[in-house]
Order: sequence, then structure tokens, then C-alpha cells
Amino acid sequence: MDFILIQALNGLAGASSLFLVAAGLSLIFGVSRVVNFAHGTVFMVGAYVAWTLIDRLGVNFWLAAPLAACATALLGALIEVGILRRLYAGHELLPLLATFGLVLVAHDVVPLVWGAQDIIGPRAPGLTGAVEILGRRLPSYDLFLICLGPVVLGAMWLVLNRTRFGRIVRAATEDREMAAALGIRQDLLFTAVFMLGCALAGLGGALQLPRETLHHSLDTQVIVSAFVVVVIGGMGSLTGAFVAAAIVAEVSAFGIVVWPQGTLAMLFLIMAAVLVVRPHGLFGRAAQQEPHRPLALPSPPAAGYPRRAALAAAGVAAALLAFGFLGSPFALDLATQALIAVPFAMGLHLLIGWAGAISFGHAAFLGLGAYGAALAFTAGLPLAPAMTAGVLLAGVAGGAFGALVRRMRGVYLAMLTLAFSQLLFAAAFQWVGLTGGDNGILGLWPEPPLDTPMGWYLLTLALVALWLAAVARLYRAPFGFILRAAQDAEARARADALPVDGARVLAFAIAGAGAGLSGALLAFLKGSAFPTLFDIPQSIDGLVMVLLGGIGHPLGPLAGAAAYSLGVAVVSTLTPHWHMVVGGVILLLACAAPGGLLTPKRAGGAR
Amino acid sequence: MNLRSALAVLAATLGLAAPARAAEPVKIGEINSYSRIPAFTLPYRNGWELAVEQINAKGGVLGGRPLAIIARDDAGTPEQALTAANELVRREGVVMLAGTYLSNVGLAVADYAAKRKVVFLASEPLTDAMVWSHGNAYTFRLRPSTYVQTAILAREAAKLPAKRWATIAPNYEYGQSAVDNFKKLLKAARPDVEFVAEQWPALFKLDAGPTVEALEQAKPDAIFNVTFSSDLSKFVREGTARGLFAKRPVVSLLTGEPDYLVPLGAETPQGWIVTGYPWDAIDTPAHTAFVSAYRARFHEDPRMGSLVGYNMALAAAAALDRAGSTKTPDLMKALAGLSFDSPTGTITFRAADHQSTMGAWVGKTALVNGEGKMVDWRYVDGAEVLPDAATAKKLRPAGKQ
Amino acid sequence: MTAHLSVRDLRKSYGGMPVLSEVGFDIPQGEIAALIGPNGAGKSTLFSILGGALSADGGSVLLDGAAILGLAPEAVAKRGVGRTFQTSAPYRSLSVIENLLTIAAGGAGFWARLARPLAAWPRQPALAALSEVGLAEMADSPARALSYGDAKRLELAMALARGPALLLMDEPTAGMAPSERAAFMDMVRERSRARGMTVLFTEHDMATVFGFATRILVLDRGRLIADDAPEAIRGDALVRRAYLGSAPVPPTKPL
Ligand SMILES: Nc1ncnc2c1ncn2[C@@H]1O[C@H](COP(=O)(O)OP(=O)(O)OP(=O)(O)O)[C@@H](O)[C@H]1O
Ligand SMILES: [Mg+2]
Repeated sequence: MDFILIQALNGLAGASSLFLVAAGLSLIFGVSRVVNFAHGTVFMVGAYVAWTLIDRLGVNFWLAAPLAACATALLGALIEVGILRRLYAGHELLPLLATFGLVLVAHDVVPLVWGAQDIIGPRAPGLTGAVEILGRRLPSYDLFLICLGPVVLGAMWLVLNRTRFGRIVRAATEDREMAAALGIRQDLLFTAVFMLGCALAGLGGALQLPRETLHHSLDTQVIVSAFVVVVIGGMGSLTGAFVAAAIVAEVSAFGIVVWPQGTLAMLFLIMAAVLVVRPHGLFGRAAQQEPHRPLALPSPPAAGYPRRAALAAAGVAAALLAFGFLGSPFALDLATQALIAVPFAMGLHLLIGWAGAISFGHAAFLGLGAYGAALAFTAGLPLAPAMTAGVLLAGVAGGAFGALVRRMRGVYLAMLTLAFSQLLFAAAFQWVGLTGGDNGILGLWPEPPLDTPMGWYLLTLALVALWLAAVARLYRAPFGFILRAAQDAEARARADALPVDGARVLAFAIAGAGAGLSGALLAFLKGSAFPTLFDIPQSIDGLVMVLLGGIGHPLGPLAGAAAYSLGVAVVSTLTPHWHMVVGGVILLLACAAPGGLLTPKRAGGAR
Repeated sequence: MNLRSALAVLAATLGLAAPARAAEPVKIGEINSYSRIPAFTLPYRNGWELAVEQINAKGGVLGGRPLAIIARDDAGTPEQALTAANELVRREGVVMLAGTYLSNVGLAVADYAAKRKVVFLASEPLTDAMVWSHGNAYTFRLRPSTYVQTAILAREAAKLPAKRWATIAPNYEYGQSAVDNFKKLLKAARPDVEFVAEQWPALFKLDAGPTVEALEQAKPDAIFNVTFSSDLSKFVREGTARGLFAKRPVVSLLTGEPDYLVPLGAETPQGWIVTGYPWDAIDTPAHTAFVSAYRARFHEDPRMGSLVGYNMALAAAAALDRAGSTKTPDLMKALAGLSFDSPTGTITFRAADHQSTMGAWVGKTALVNGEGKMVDWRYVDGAEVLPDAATAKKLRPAGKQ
Repeated sequence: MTAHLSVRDLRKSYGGMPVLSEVGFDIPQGEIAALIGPNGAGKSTLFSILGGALSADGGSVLLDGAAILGLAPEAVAKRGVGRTFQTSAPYRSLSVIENLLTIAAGGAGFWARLARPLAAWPRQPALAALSEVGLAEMADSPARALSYGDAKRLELAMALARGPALLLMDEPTAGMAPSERAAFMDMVRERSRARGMTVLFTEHDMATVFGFATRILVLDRGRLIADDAPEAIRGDALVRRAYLGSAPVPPTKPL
């Protein structure tokens, strides 16, 4: 009994920290629909700034925390005015791309500024001890945190319900168009809300110091749990974020007692369970989903592609083929990787661009393809059937997952895909008997002549070309048009008896199979498969490729996959600070070419 | 990075440049998690840079050729490590691969090395699989493995009266095999012990308060800890505040390494039995020379990574000199049974399982002038705890030697 | 002989607020019926329920004697119901003719939908349907470039594309010039006469309502308060008070 009470208090202390980060994220999303991937980075910077103030400048902890919040608010203003503001007119995921660029830059800049060594956070003066409760000791700082959560929630409630600013924020959260129509200065509002959100994150970071160790990947730890909390609570709902933080923290606190090995999966199991029961989170409403902005992918020319295009395609194919015989082994290796990224990115683009289904977990299918092929291969199957097994596994999983989520949209769907991939990640990680755990599956080397760079390149080229041809055909077939029709006007499409759900499920299956092909090709290129294939960075890579390449162009993901894959490979041989360079380029491109590298030519009066 | 080399990379990427033949330096390709785990790998990098400078100042390797180490970041993923391995072998033409920190990355590179027939000197990764269940003819490992480190600690643990043990370890292979080894070895020495609780926090995501409480709830007599880095700091702080460590011995892997001990500072727990590296207390002439050269060169104190990096370069140079060539078969032959002098004594790569005999220091943590130190320490040579040659050989897959 | 569309006791409320209460009516085959009522009366809600886009709280809807309540919109459409929406919505990123071709191809078999390029689908029927609504020249322009009235016409062609037996139109002529309205409704009437298609439409413009409807249903705050021939509706005091107010009612045009 004592234990249960103490553990509940422990959970609440963790909940407060989670809530501070999640509240800002939710607020920002609610008003501006920005998925701020850099929110964890702001949290981290807040913590580091507070540490600098305390440790280097001798400022008192209790003063340093609000000062750090001010500093991150300014940082937020800089980000919003300098970068995000240019992106609102574009695709809803552009801010995600840009803020991901920021995360990459911070990944290198933070160790340069604050050093690479772990820093143990300073304690809070006056709250360094522990209090005895029922014979157990609870750090007094935890008690402070437990009280802080509701206080911040209350303060936010007052701001939102009792001030003019708050009323505007609420109006904008409920109905953006309405708020805009009422003559509210949107730019000022967005900046103010972004600053407020960042201030909360910075405050959260600073207040976490007495419980946290500072290091440069604190951000990625925080951001995922914060997102999960926001989604469980319902995007845009502060009360929701608070309740969700409490649920997540409590379930984790008691979960580790019952199921200590469950630490990897717990968070995502909670989220998946909540979303299945309440698809818009605990306090979210359907209306709070982002208004859908169709992408308007262009139709293929009705009269078929011009000779020019066919010739160009044939020329590129011939050049790629010739390269297979002329390129150096290393160049072939890079080119193979770039080619392998193509079906992965194309599949993700099929989901996001064509089917209007945002996925943050496309790596799930990459991993399934790789593991399916790897397990079949180690079980003794020859290469071709093994690869087929991987592609099929990923395709079937895609179809099954698609059937489950066919009616879901927006960020909630995106987060379910994330949960799906993370649960598979946890399975690959912990089902050691089958998957070899994090040590992966090794020794996946194909037989000669496919074991040479040239051999694998040529096979990859052939399979990817086939894949492209098949997908191009799909896009020109009714399938592609049905998907686009459903994006343009879903109710209309259903009233026209178009098989919208079927097309979406199929899109998931095809996208899954495409990623599966990439995974299988990758496994045999690398000779190994690891759980990291299922992990979030892989999914993010896919998103970056799609957005960078141009989401409104059928060939965008091709350009994005090639550019990003080659870019990272080349830059990372040039400098150890390649994250910074790649992040900087992403930022620049997002601002300078928000439509991506390829943008469709608009025929006729665009409105 | 200047424009010229950028262009050269581009040209090479496109397959235009002919492989350089005239260059004299002997190139070793080094892959590590420089961006992912800088806290360990940056001192490590300093270590091998120092060694390379010293080796070259003394005339290099193979009778006068300079040694060059070309480093690449793996971002903590096997995929990128393999891209780098490919680049180093195929474009840079390195004669040997070295490095890696994470076990899965190390295993991926080892498998690659066997496939492409290059020697791989795994410096950091701890997993036993590296030289045993996944061992191969081309891979040699420098650092004392998980097995060695836990075996040293299990011996100490067996001397304690404690019967009820709890464990806490990060939820991945390193943590899992450390706990496995520890349980097995301790049970063998002390059939009367039982394990009453275990905690498996996700790496670097320890939720310290609830975890400490869950351990406390089991009322163990002693605790075996495998967490490190930021998880360790949080564990120590919460555990101390909640009295988890009061009157309870803690046996803790790697905690005595300065990489993890220094950040703890004034909060260093006292009396934990740990493996580590008491760098400022080892006063053999060779080690003192190493420490002063390191400090002079980098204006900071050496860490565990520094010593491992330094030894890696020494081992590579010794292997080259013993082989008398840069050919893979010669290097393999040279490394099997190779002995070289490190700042902390002679280290031998056992021919039976390719594991080096580099050992670890075991001792107790203490707070000295507000800083964490290791006291009552002694050095345990790897050869002392490693299974004998015949047993080790049986642990390796047949046919791969 | 049962009615073509038969609605009984239909109920719907939003969060406890009744929007439709015990609505019931029958529409015989081939009739052109108008559903009128003030803003917020529940007309669009009723249409959405009939079309399957919205679920009802209770009641029944029979089409040719078969229950369609609770079916998905696709299934309702397959039973021969076509509809247009209050805010018209053709597929804006497609060309005009692709709007129709997609609908035609949507009913094709699985493999045909995957493999046969849309451009290879027969254009002739689609062009014929377009000329019926006067859009043949615009066939290859992007739908997003259409004027407001043209978009409404395209949507009508889309709703008719599957040859529905029942056509539901939610404010089909809103925002059109009076001459456009008459021409638009003429097209619908032509079609209805030629194929015996039943039509149910909502409309705020009384000239259109009384000019084309052979039957008028009046909805007020979710209740059906009248259901009769146009002449009778014109004289109904309840309807006047609820809806027509003091506005002059135009004389009935000869049908
Ligand atoms: N999603 C919804 N949630 C809550 N109330 C709704 C919703 N949709 C419609 N309503 C309400 O239901 C009532 C009927 O709306 P409906 O759109 O059916 O009216 P209508 O007769 O079509 O009006 P109009 O002539 O303006 O088109 C209105 O009071 C409206 O506010
Ligand atoms: Mg309406």
C-alpha cells in the first residue's frame, strides 16, 4: 500500500515534467498546426542555458529557470519569424521538415558550445533533501514538481480564459478561418504562441535539471514522449496534455514493476490503446484536426507522355546502366544506396501525397522487408524467394495496417503509424530468439556474382526500375485518380461509389511492399539487418526525402531520395559535423524552395 | 575542408578518379560513433591521435612509412558504419579497419570485414559475441569484454555476505549479457544467492524515481548495476536521495571509468565496487609518460576512451611491423598472438579467440576533495579471468577458426 | 405499388439538440420534389443521412422497398442514388473529363482499376455526358479552373454519371443567375422525364421551387410541417409563418 502511494507520487512528479514540454507543443499545434519537431531541442537548450547561468554566472537556480524560459522564448521568436513564417502557405509537413533541420544543426552545435561530456544538473537550493512519507523517502524537489504541474495548468487556464490574448488563442484553435476572418493579426498571434510554447519548453528543461543529466541527445528523448502525450490528450488540449502526462507517467511507473522488460514498448502501447478507443485523443475533437489541404498532384498528360520525356527517361536509364559498368566500387555502393531509397520514398509519397495519409512510421515496412528477407535467407531459402518473402511480408503488413486505419487522418494517423513502427522496433529488439535482438542478423551475403558492388547495383537498378514502371502505371490507372479524387473531395468520391477505402488500403499495401523491397535490398547490400531499420530516424529520413524532393510532383520522391542519400553520404565523409551541414541545407531548401526540388507545372488557371 | 578535397570526393564518388597509388602513408580506417556518443569517442580520438603522432615521430611503421588513421562517423547506426567501411576500404584503400563503440555496429563491421577480407581491430565494443559466438578470422578485439568485466565483479560480489540481489541494466544486448554473465558466475560461486528484482530501463531513458522505488520494494541485500552515462547519474542521484544505497553494497560495471565517474563529481557514491580506470593513481613510468603527454597535448585529463584509443593505434602499428606488410593474410597472422607494450603493461591478442588480454581495474569508489575517485584498486589482467584457450575456441563458430 | 423513396420516423440530434424529429414522407417514382425550410432546418442533415454520409438516431429509409439506412455512402450510391452537395465539389486537381472518367472507371474490376490507364478509358460516353450539361468544350481543362456555375454543372454530370434512379440535390442553383437556374433545372427535368428518375432537391429560391417541383416538403426545425402539391403549400398558413414569412410568393409557372 505504501509502495503504491509512493510510486503514484513518483509518477506524478514525472508527469509534471512531461506536461510542461507537452503543453507548449500542444498549444503551438492547436493554433498554427505546426508540428514542432525542434521542441525537444528547445527543451534541451533551456536546460543548458539554465546550467550556464547557474554554474558559470552564479545565478540562483530559482532565478535561472525563468531566465532560461525567456531565452528560449526569444529563440522561439527567432525560429518562428526567421523560418516557419515562410512555410505556412506550403504543405502542412513543411514546418516538420524545417524543424528537423534545426534538430540536426543543434545536434552538432550543442556539443561545440557546451562540450560533449555529460553534465549532472545542479540541485535546487532549498529542495535538495528528501521528505519521509510512510517510511519511504521522496525527494522534496519531486514534491515541488508534483505541485507545479497543476499550478502551470491553472495559470495557463487563466491566461486562455481570462485574457484577450487567451480568447484569441482559443478562437484560433477552434476555428482558424473564423479567427482570420475576424481580423486577428495571424502573424503576431503565431509568433506569440510559438514564443509561449518555447518558453514552457525552456522552463521545463531548466526545471528538469535537478533530475536530469545534460547531454546532447536529450532532445530526441524528450520529443517523442512529448508528442505521444500531446496526441493521447488530444492535439490542442492543455487539460488533455495534463491528463495524458499523468496517465503515461503512472502507467510507466507501475508498468516497470509488473513488466520490467516493457520499457521500450510501454509508451507506444498506451498511445495505440488510447487511439484505438478514442481516435482523436482523450480531449481532442474531430473538428480540431487540421483542415485538409489537398496537394493537387498533376494528371499525367491525357495524350500520353511526350516523346521528349520518354527519350529523357530512356537516356537516364541508359546512363545508370552504363554507370554500373564504369563506376568505381565505392561510387556504385553509394549509387546503390540512393537507388534503394527510391521505393521507400516513393511508397511514403504514395501515402502522403496521393492517399493523404501522413505516416511517421514508414520504417516499419523497411524493417519488415529486411527482416522478412533476412529470416527467410538464414532459414535456408535462396536469395530470390527470400527477398520475395520480405516484400510480401511488408506488403501484407501494410495492407493489414491500412485496413485498420483506413478511416483515420492527420496527426493521429501519423502517430499510430509511429506507434506501429516502434512496437515492431521493440519486438525486433527484444525477441532475441528470433531476431537476434539489437545485435541483428548477420551474414546476409548474396552469392556471386551478386556479391560485388556491380552485381548488386545492377540487380537493384533492375528491380527499382521495374518498381517505378509498375508504380507509374498505377498512378495513371484509375487507382491513382481515385486517390486524388478522394483527397480533393472525399464525400463526393464516396457518393460517386468510388472505392476510396479500398484504394487507401491498397496504397498502404503497395507503399509497404515498396519499403519492403528497399529493406530487402538494403539487408543484402549491408549483409545484415538491425532493429535500427525500424527506428524513428529511418522514418524521418523518408519524410525528409519526400518533402525535399517535392511532394506535389510524382517524381519528387525520386529526386529527394537521390539528393538526400547521396548528400548525407558525401558530406559525412567530408566533415564530422555533417549533421550541421545537412541540417543547414534542409533549412535553406525548406525556405527557398518550399515546394521541394521538383514542383509541378500548373496547367490552366491555378487558384 | 577545402574546395579541392571536396571536389576530389565528388570526383571519386562519380568514379572518375583513379585510385591513388603513389601515397606513402599506411592508412587505417577508423569508424566510430563520434557524433552519437561524443563523451566517450572524443577522448578516444585524442588517444589515437596522440599515439599516431608519437609513432610517426619515431619513424612510423614498416620501416619508415607514416601511419595515417582516417576517421569516419557512424552516427551510431550499423548502416552508416557499413557505408563508411565500404568507403574506407574501397575508396581510401585502407589496409585495416578499426574502432566502433556500439556492439551492434561492431558486429556489423566485423561481419563486413570477414566478407571483404580485411582485418578489423574492434577497439571499443564489449559484446562477447564479437570474439565468441560471432567471432571470425579477421576480427580482433582490444577492450576487455562484458564477460571479463562482469567476471571480475562477480568474484568480488561472491565475497559479500549478500544473498538477495537486484539488478538494473539498460535494455539492450550489453545490459542483458552483463546481467546474464553476472547471474551465472555468481550463482556458480555462491549457490545460495537469489535474484529478487530486475529493472531494464531503455538506454538513456531511465525514469529514475519509479525505478529506484521498484528496486527498493524488493528489499534486496545488494545491487548489481550496469547503467552508465546519463542513466547512471540519474540512478545515483535518485538512489542516494531515497536511501536505496544505504547499508547496501552496490557492484557496478564501468562506473570507475573517469568518463562516467567525473560527471558525478561531489555526488559520487562511496564504497561501490566497480571496474574502471584510476588514471591518476597508476604510477608506472609508462603510464605516467602517457598521462603527461596526453595532458600536454590536449590540456585535459585522459579518460578510459583515451587509453583505449591510444592502445588501438599502438596495436595497429605493432601488427603492421610484425607483419612486415600491409597484406591482409600477413596482418591476420601477425595479430594472432601479437604482444605489444601499452602504458599499462603488455597486452596480447590471444590466438585462440582473438581477444586481447587488456584487463580492467577493480576497486571502490570514494569521494576525495569533492571528486569521484577509485580507491583500493588493483589491476586484473584479462588473461586471469578469460576462459582458457581450449574453452574459448569452442565458443567460436566452427570453420571460422 | 410502394413509393420509390420512403422515409419513416427519421430522428437525428447533435449533442442532445434534435435536428430531425420523426420525419416521414413518401416520394413516388419520377416525381420532382423540393425540400424547403429556413436555414438550419435540417435539410442538409436529412440529405446526408439519405446519402449514407451521416448516421441517424432512428427511423427507416426504404428505397424501392429495401432499407438503405446505415449503409455506407458507396453502397447507397450503388443502389442508384446520385447526389450533389451544398458546397459543390468536383475533383479539382483532375481535368473535367477525368472527373467523369474516374467515376466510370471506379466501377470497373479490381485489375482494370490497377492496370488500365485512365486515358485508355472510352471518352465518348463521358463527352456525351458533358455535352448534356454544356461542358463538352471544357473537357480537357482542369476542373479547378471552372467558373462557379460550370462547377455546379460538372457536379450534376457527375451525380448523373452512374444513371441514378434517385437524384438528391442540395441547393443546386444557389449563387446562379436566374436564367442559369432555369436552364439548369430544365436539364434535370429533361433527364427525369426521359429516364423516370426521381428527384429530391433543396432550394431557397422560391421561383425555382415553385417552377419545377411537383411536390413540396417543408421542414422547420427538424419537423416536417407540410408535404403537398405546390398550390396547397402556397396557401398553407403554417408554412407561411415558418418560412415564407411576408415575402411574396411568385406565381406558379405552367409546367
Ligand atoms: N456537425 C454538427 N454538429 C452540431 N450541429 C450541427 C452539425 N451540423 C449541423 N448542425 C446543426 O444542425 C442544424 C441543421 O443543419 P443543416 O445543415 O441540416 O441545415 P439546413 O437546413 O441545410 O440549413 P441551410 O439552409 O443553411 O443549408 C443546424 O442547426 C446546424 O447548426
Ligand atoms: Mg443545408
